[in-house]
Amino acid sequence: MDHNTRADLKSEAEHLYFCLFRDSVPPGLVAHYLNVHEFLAELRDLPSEQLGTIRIIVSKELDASAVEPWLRCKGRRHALSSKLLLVVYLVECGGGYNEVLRKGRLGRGRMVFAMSCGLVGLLRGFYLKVRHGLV
Amino acid sequence: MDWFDRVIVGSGPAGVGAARRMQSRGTCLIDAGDMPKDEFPFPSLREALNTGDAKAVLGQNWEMLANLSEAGRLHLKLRATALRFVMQGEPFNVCDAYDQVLLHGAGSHAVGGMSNVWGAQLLRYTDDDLADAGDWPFRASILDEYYSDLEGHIGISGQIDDMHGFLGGLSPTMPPAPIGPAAKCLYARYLSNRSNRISQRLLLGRPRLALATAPGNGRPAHSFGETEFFTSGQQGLYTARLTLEELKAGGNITYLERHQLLSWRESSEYVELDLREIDSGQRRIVRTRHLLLGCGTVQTARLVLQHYNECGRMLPFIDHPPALLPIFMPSMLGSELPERSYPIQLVGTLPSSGRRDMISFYYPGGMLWSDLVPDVPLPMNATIRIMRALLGGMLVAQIWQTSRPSLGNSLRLDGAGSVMISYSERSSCTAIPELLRALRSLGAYSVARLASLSPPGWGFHYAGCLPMRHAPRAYETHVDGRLWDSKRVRVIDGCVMPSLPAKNHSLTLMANSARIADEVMRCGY
Repeated sequence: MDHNTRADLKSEAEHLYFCLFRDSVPPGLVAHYLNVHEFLAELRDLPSEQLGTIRIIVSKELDASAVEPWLRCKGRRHALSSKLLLVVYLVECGGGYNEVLRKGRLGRGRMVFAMSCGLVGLLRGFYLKVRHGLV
Repeated sequence: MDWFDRVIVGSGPAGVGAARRMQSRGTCLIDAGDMPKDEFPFPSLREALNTGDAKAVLGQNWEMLANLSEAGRLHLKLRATALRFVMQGEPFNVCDAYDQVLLHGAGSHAVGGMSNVWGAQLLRYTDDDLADAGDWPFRASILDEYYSDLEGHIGISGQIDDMHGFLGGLSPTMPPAPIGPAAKCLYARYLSNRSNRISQRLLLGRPRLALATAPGNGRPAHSFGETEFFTSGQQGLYTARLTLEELKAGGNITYLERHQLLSWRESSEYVELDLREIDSGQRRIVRTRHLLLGCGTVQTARLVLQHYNECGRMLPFIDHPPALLPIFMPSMLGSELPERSYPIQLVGTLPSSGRRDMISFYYPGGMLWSDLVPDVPLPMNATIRIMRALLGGMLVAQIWQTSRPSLGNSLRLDGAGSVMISYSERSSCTAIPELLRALRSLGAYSVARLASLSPPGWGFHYAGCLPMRHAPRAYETHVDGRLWDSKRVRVIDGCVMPSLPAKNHSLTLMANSARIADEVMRCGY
């Protein structure tokens, strides 16, 4: 991968991590994100319109997590779904977010609140998808 | 040239089931002998995640991300580095009615075969099961002595409960595996509601597992470290490899590893096998009085078709693709999750349906939660935050229904000799509405839309290519396992099963191969 692409992927990793966890990305995760893209050919062979969507989301700092459900498809995943999911895997398996993912108590009230936020996120994501013509 | 009284090809459940009945130096077990190239270095998934080493969990080459771009590209149990060895044999494809490939599969060359990744439910077929499935040439009770022998050898955990009549079999010798909060609650409500006729609609019980919940049979107890998706070498979990190791250690069979059967020739006095040593490529000839083929349904069918030089001939093919249905218990959401667990929590059936469906209830918390994230219809950041609470009140019902041969489902060889499996006919899961109604009365909920049907080929309960008959025609087998026109070549794996009851066929595979082995010992030639 040339320097330009690595920089793009670094920006992607940073933005997607922020959309998921509202925090700065750990440096080790960026390295893994780049490494996975070197190993998995399918991440280098993505439809151009989907890559364009990702570029828009990253450059305009749109909420990727909100938009992604509206781009999900059966069978082969949308590029945004794959890349967001990659960050999720790297965080879970990198132990970086054990406190949120696997420990601590989430009472029913907070769970309902989190789900409600998720539903609001869905609505916002739909608006962003239409507003920016994301495909 | 080597000479043996009996040769068994394949070290999976069928092969070792037969080998146990034919223990002597004159019995040779041949297999390709693949072993894991890597081991999962952690005793539990939690410890692995706590290291913070993503590559230690996901693989040095990110093997666990095999489904990142395409959901279901690789079965969840076949992704890990330490499990890739399980399916490295001859490839095959499963296609639908439009020749779209549903599954890229491969036969197993692994020591122990597909038992390396089984769920360890070992269940007897009953006479009712076989009568319902149809076409079996004998009653299940004929296998009773073999079932009992195997259950004693393996060690089965479980309990006598409402599912005992359905599951059949001996009293388990070890207590049942522990269950998580959702399963505990569901089962407790079931027990307290039995007087309200719930048991007329749904029977629930603890699973029968080849899993040591206490030390015994010379084996340690299982650690419930949630490593089922990462390794096959869990202590306390029985696989066919354990029996093979015991037979080898006792000097009770001759083991010829790292050899592949290419072909055979049968004369009136013996069968001559043409073998290839896998590592060197050298050929080796072995003669035997009796050949028992236990390579697994797909590979045995391939060998038989190649033997008779039949490209294009279609053999019946049966699989058990299950339906999956997530179930939620609102009262249990947010419950404390167990530190250790085993996936299968409860088993059930629907007695009023008139069918003999088998339902296994799984706890999905003992796997990578990232595997579950895409299935939740919410933004991923919300899903991540609620996942822990969700899993406290969640089970996944895996619904198995009886599978029978069907004209649209077949196995054949193409012009290049590769296995092609067409699976164009599958029945929909008719159990879901009834299951939902029964579960609602126990405070567990779901909707049919959340159900997903596994693609054909994903059940990995393959069977039916060379079915047993009392009067077999071409490409069928005698009840004693012999190929229709053979005196000395027998089939001992799932190929011979004429239909598949809803329960998994693993223990019956072993029992039937043991029965056929006894036929060989008694045949007098």
